[in-house]
Amino acid sequence: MTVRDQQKEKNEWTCTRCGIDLELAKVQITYVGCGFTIDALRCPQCHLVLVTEDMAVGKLAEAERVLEDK
Amino acid sequence: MLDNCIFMKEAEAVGAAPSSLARPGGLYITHRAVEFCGFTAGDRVADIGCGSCGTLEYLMTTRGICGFGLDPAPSRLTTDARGIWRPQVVRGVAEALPFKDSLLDGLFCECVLSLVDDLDAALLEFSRVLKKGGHLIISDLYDRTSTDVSLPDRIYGQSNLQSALSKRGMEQLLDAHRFMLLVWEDYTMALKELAARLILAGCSPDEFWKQGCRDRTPNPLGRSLMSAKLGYCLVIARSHAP
Repeated sequence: MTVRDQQKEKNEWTCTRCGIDLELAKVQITYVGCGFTIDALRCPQCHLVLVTEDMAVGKLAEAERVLEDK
Repeated sequence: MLDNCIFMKEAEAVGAAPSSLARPGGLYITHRAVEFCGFTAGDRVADIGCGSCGTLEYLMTTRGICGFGLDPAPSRLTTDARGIWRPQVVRGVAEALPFKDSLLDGLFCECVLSLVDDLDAALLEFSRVLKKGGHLIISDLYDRTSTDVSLPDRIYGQSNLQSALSKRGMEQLLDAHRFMLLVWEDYTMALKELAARLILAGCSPDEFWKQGCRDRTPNPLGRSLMSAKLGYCLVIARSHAP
């Protein structure tokens, strides 16, 4: 993945492999055996998913703390 | 009192649809309890704190059980859109059940006991309305941190969580009211999974639980749901143990 302009909106991300703008989609993730559906940016062609820094240190980290009993 | 299966005249029916069963384990824990208890068509089973009747719908549509619902705020339905199932939902609280003595084969108490003000009064009522050998099914939060029930300011092991019993406290409570403990199963992972699902959906687990508990304030858990080391359990007990 690359970014055209990191200051722009999240949906400005582009998949460098396919050359297509990422789209917001319902994405299935699993963690410690639990399955979840989240909204994330995904390449509509190769389905590669972007996990933004905000998401990684925000909701995902919080959910991880709960699941790991930290 | 309910006269057997007669509708309560105060029953309120507003017509809301059942919720999506957003609770730890979804319907799995209910299903597990039904399988264990062996309820069959025609058995009389009540759901205390029935909320949007998700458990009753399951019991009545899949098992043919004669279901009763009790809720302090019954903004619920008495029939679905197709008129297939028809729970009898009445307003009330666990400490004063509107049922005759020895009426019920089973009694569900899901996510409710940790909110009951007077546990002794509730258990007395559960014992009264259940037939001899009837099943009490409790699924609720419990305090995973507390094993010490010897402190004088703790009743049945209730801790500073204010509401959630410890495992030992639950056992003592049941024993005091002549319930024989048959099943204790831990579903803490289901609680964590629900909390994580809420977080990922942008919701607060604490707020969710508070809303699910009919918006009682202050938060009956006293502090953050997930930081409090709460677990979730299924308890099945038989009434009128010798």
